[in-house]
Amino acid sequence: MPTASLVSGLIEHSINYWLKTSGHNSSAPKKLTGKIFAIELTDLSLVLVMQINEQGLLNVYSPLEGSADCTIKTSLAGLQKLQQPEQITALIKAGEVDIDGDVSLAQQFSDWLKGSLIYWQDILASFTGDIAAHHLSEIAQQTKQLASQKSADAKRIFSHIVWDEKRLAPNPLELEEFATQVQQTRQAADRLSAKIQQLTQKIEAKS
Amino acid sequence: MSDNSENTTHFGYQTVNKEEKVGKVAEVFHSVAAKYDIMNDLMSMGIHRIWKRHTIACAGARPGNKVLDLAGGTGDLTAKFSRIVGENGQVVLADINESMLRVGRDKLRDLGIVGNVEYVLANAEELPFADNSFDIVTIAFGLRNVTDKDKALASIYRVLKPGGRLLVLEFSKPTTEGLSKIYDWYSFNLLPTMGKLVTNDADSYQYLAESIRMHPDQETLKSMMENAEFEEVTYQNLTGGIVALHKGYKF
Repeated sequence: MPTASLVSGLIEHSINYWLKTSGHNSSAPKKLTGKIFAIELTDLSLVLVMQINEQGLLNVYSPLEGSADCTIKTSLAGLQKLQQPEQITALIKAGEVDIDGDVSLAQQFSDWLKGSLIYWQDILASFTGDIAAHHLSEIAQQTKQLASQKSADAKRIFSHIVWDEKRLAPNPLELEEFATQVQQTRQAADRLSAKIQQLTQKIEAKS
Repeated sequence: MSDNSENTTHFGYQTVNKEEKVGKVAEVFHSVAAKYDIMNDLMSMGIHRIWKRHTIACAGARPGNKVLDLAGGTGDLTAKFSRIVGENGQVVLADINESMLRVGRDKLRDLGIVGNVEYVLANAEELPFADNSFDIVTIAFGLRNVTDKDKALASIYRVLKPGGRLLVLEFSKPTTEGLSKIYDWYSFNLLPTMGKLVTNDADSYQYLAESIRMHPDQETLKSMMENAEFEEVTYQNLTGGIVALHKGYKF
């Protein structure tokens, strides 16, 4: 489908622009050169074929002809979850991700690509100059901090409403207290039943 | 005058002697070579890049492959193939027109694409390569201008390795009536005007429009490829059949 070719072209140009400006292309692992990775996004019905060439830049194509060294079949959401490597096995078991071929290659490939992100301030500075870049990155950092603070606030407010105000769910402390009480009751019941058994045995022995 | 028809062929809507066509086509491309890339972008509104990209994807080239980019002109496909096949592979850019080849070679060298690319001035009907020497042969927007297409297909078949594939990217017949009308109006009114403005050469672009109409349609080209012993021949219409990508294998 030519639309896929348009998408792959845009991706190729933007990634390569990024890699060239950051100079990250010169640190492409030699082991990966020429290897072919295919990412099949099931919800977009799009296959992206990626290959690192000798200049350390990417060739991105669609569709895939023949076989790839590593094929990852997943949805957009699954691709995001793949960011945490410890989740891979769980995702494969849940059927959200299907990997065919050499996983370690794909891992190295994504590590290398992600590695280029540390240069983002350099690249920004090449457009705007150092001072503006510094301010911009500071603003970005503040925004990020503010956002995480806001989200923490929102979480706290939400749990406050649920636990204390509307009492939709028990407070963790209450829950703990309840659990202790249940345990105590169970222990008392156990003691009682042991006592009863003891007494019964006594009675049986006498009669 | 039925004897005469064996010695003649079409040059756009004109009928010319077979020997004459080569010279006339050469004239067209000598005249447009310098501005070929700009005109391609203008005429197709950049869509030719997507068609070519799709062709590359369908070629399924792998590192180490040997690729022939026939009628490769200014080397768009060659540039991309060169990056895919790597230093162990090889791409041969062949064109019958010296001007086009020179423009292509200069462009690729300026892009830093050297080492695994060779330039050959060759006639598609009689390819100067050994039998079974290429994994992939592509001919993008070139078959139309070849005088004897059957001979060219046979020649391509000869140089392909068993298991190799041929990809023909060429103008074809639009599949819907509406698109066909717009397309006709565009290519007979706007195209020659654009050609005149940019290259000062309306005739060459008149020829382009006419030669597209005279080119065999999807099914005809498919059967021509099958006659040349290609197997599993398929085609795919791109942009409503304005362009079609034919694919065939040699086994």
